[in-house]
Amino acid sequence: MSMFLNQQSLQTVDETKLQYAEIQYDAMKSTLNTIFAQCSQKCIPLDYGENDMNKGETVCTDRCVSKFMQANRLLGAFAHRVRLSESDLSHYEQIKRKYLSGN
Amino acid sequence: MQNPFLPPPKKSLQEMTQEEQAEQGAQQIMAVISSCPGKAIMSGVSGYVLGGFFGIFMASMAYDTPVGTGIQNNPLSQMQDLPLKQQMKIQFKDMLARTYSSAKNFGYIGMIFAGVECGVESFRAKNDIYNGTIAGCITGGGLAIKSGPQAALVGCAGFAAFSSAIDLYMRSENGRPPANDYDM
Repeated sequence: MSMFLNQQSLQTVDETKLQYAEIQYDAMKSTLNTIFAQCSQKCIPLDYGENDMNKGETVCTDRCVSKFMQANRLLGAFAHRVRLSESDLSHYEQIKRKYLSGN
Repeated sequence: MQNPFLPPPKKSLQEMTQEEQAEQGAQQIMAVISSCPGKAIMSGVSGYVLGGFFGIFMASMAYDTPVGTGIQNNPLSQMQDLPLKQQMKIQFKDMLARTYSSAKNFGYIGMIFAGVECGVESFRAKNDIYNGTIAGCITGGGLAIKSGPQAALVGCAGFAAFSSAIDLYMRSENGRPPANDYDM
């Protein structure tokens, strides 16, 4: 209903801003998924008997997320400073191909 | 763009509805209870109460009162000459002293064990039986330290073994989650 009250939202979306938002969304999604995978692998053992997290797991997850975000921020600043681009990471494709082919 | 990883800004108490206020209050209570001091205090209080019951039970079965041998000025024979009410008063005082000492001991045990275990677990950020072992050693050693180093060592070993046994029994039911919910 608000789109009838606020005429400005009927304007076309800026293409560059949309791309920027998509890139940001992809970055944050991948960061969050990596945090989930890494911290749950490191902190939550596959041996439990109740549905709540106990004190050790809670503390470990807090520290893991905090360290991950710090490292993410530092690496992001570094990548921005040296203007890291996709061509600098092209060797990862070769590693991935080699790993997935079973060598 | 606002950082989506940060929690949403906190609303003050007046802006929240009744439900949200209740939820906030419940969250705070749970945070206090699951914190290390909260756990220690709860364990200490429950140990105190349990020790009180235990002390009353043991005091009613105590058999270490001096046996009358017919010697003059025997405190027991003097006590038996008193009227019933005063005899009962003396016995109750004795029972109360035993109950209080037992309650105090159990309360100390509970408080120290729970506090140390929670602290060790927070420090190591792991949840396994060694938290209980270390906490048991410190509790047993700490309570017996007034009787010398050998008693402290024996107390440490005994309490650590006891705590590990109980923990192993409680964890014997834990295990991996099933691969799926359909065929176990």
